[in-house]
Amino acid sequence: MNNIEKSKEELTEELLKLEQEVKRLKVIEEKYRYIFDYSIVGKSFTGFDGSLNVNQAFCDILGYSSDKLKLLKWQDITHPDDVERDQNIINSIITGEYKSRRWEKRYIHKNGHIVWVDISTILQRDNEGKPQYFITSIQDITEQRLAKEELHNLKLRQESLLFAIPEIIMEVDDDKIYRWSNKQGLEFFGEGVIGKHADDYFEGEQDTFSIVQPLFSGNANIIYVESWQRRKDGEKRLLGWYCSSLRNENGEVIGSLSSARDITEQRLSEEKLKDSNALLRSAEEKAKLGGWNVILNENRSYWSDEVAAIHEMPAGYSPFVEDGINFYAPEWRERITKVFTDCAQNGIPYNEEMQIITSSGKLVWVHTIGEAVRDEKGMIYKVQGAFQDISVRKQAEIDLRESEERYRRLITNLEAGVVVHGADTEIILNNHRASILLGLSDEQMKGKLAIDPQWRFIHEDKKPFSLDEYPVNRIKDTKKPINNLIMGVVQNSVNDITWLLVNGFPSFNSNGETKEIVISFIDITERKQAENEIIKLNKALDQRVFERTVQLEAANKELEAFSYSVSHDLRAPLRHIDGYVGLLLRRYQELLPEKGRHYLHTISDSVSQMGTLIDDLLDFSRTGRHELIIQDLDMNQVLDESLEQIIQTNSKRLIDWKISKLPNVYADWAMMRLVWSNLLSNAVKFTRLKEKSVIQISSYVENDDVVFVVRDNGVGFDMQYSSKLFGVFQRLHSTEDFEGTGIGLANVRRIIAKHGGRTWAESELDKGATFYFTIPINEE
Amino acid sequence: MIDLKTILFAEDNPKDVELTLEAMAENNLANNFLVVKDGVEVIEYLRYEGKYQNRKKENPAFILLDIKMPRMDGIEVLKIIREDPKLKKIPVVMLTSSREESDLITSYNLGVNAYVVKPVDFSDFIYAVKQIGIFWAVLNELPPSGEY
Repeated sequence: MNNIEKSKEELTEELLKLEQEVKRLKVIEEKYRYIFDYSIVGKSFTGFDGSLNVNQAFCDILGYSSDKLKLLKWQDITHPDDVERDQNIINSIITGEYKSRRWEKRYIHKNGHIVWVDISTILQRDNEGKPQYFITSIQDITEQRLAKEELHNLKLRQESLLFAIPEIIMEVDDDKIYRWSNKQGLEFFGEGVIGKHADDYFEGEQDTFSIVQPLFSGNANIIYVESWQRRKDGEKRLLGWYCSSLRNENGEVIGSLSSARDITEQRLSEEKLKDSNALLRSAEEKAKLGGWNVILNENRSYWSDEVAAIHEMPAGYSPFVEDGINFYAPEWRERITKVFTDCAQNGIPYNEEMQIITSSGKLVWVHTIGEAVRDEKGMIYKVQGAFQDISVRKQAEIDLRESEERYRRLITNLEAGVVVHGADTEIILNNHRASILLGLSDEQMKGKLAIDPQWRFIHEDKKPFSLDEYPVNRIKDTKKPINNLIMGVVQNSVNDITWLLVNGFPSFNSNGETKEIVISFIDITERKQAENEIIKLNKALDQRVFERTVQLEAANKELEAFSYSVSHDLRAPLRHIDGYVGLLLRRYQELLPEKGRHYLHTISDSVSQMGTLIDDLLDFSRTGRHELIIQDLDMNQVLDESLEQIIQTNSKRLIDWKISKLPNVYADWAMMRLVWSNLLSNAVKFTRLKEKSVIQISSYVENDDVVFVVRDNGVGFDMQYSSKLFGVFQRLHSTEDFEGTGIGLANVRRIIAKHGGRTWAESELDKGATFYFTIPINEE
Repeated sequence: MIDLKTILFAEDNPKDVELTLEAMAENNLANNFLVVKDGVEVIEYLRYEGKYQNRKKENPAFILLDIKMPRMDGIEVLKIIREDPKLKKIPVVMLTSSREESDLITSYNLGVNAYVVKPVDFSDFIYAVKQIGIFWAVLNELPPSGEY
């Protein structure tokens, strides 16, 4: 028993152990089942035949129920494109090449969409190593997968975007070193740009860094800046950069991502546009021409700046149509209203010159043009036009009209005949006076050519003009004016000569060709006759002068003969008287009584006096006939010579000579000497009674003369008789007081007159006398 | 006493002749004077013509010429003398009433040796004539006779 007992006991113990083991296993199994059933990872025991034993998570991933999936094999729910590859993977495990595998695959969801899973599988073998089934875990990665795909696509899109956009995109770090660039950036700056300082690519001084500084200091997110930069080919280009700040995850600025566009052309064309706008404005201003339009349904005028300026309104002024019309002067308002309405309603364009009153009240002539603009349906929706200040032109027109009128009046009323010829010498205009002088009617004149043989033109010597000599032909040929040509016109109808004084000149067009020839002429027939009279008179006069000259010469000869006989014959008897008186006194003095001797002495004195008279008279006559030898004369020298002689003959007299320096004159030496001698000896003579004679000699310039002055302190004379002073034989003192013949001053006057000068004297009795004579300056 | 040559004196006025000779007499020169009445006679004398055909072959010491004379005046006489190689060296003195510039110029142009205007005053006249006589007849050296 013991054995049995023992065995029984042992068996019971064994059974208990087993029961415990089963219990333990059951717990484990329960645990695994739980894990299997409730794992969030999809799990499946997959048979070699492909049958599936799955947990709930697996069902959830693929949308099938667990029972349904028990009816399906893994091949049925796998994406057809993945089946073969999955089979190969499984085979590699079965063959023992791999113990387990993990990959990503596609299932088809019950709803038909693809479910991406991360799958791992391991082969379960029995104790003998015989493969029994696969344990497979799947995890739904569809979303991950989609996200990844999305990311990939995004990246591709981004790349193609960066490739496709024309902008340069570059990144700099906070040291302004280029760290990244898109293709455009590399193409612009060159491959070597990465790692270079942004500074290296600036052209000239650029304030780019200071402008973008706020980005780097974190005070701004985006900044636009323009800078001139050097392109790969060395050319200078203007880039417009949009710079944004780059921050790290802590929000600190680590650099800047910027996009740039080459705006060089844009800038240039902007500048050009600006220029041409300015040009347009300036042209408008200069031409005082502007544009305007009226959008009819707005009833408002839009004016260009110049149109506003013409109205003296600020630029941008856009009045209602009525207000615009009210700028017109009252007398024009009806007209402008009518033409504008016709244009706006019926499309009739207008082109008018009217007057407006500007805002400052100025009356201004304007040229206004309007035309209708139609829409595609043919409806007039707008009237537009041009508007110009033409006051200057208008004034010029008025001036021109007035000037034309003035000249027309002038020409019409001119005493001279005026004919305007065209280039072919045809008459295109003439005044009535011309017709009269040429003996034709105005109608006959019109269009007539100068060569028409209506008239005969003759020279002063009555020879006819050849055709070439016709004034208009001459001007046409020579292109030169004619001045004061004397021409006779013989009118065939009247056999009379009209004498004309002709002037003419050509006018040219811009090519230098003769455009018109203007001939003017005045009637000098009377003058001509008068001239002939004068010529006749002159001839007669010449004859008379000749006759008189002959007579005068004869008279002169006679006078010479007379003086000759005076000098010779008259003196001879005198001399004889004196001679014989002298002989009588010499030889027979003792025989004569005292009284007889006295008589003889008296005779002798008288003879001597008469001799002096005759000599002086001859001197005077000689002076008149003397031919002057005019030369540049030093008057000081002439005076000295005369003075020397006078001082010598009056050596006993006390004379104070006060002599100023005298100028040179053009005069005859001998005659001047005579003048000085006469005046000085007179001064000496008439100061004889003074204890001390004072004689002053000086000169001054007055007008075109040198005036010489001789002043003495002598007895002087009564001004009452001054007119007689310079007459021949005129004496103001008795011979007993002062000897003399009265010829000296007459001689002085005669000489000075022959030099073109004057003589006069001033005095008061006993207060001295002053004598003046003048010699013209530069009288050669 | 020096043997003086003849002084030829042409003067038509007998009063002047007398007065002149009176003046010369005061210098003892009167005897040498040969008075002729006009220019023609001067030339006749000088050229040994007419009544002078047989006169001594000798030129006068000098000729005292009045300008204004009948037939041939003093200027003409002077001209002829100066143009005649045989006569041209004879001194000629004009003694005249004329102070006419033209006479002076013409005379000097023709080569007159002296020109004296007769003073109206008799004392002056005598003085002048004396001076002429002394100078031309006594002091003045004539060219050698062979030269004639």
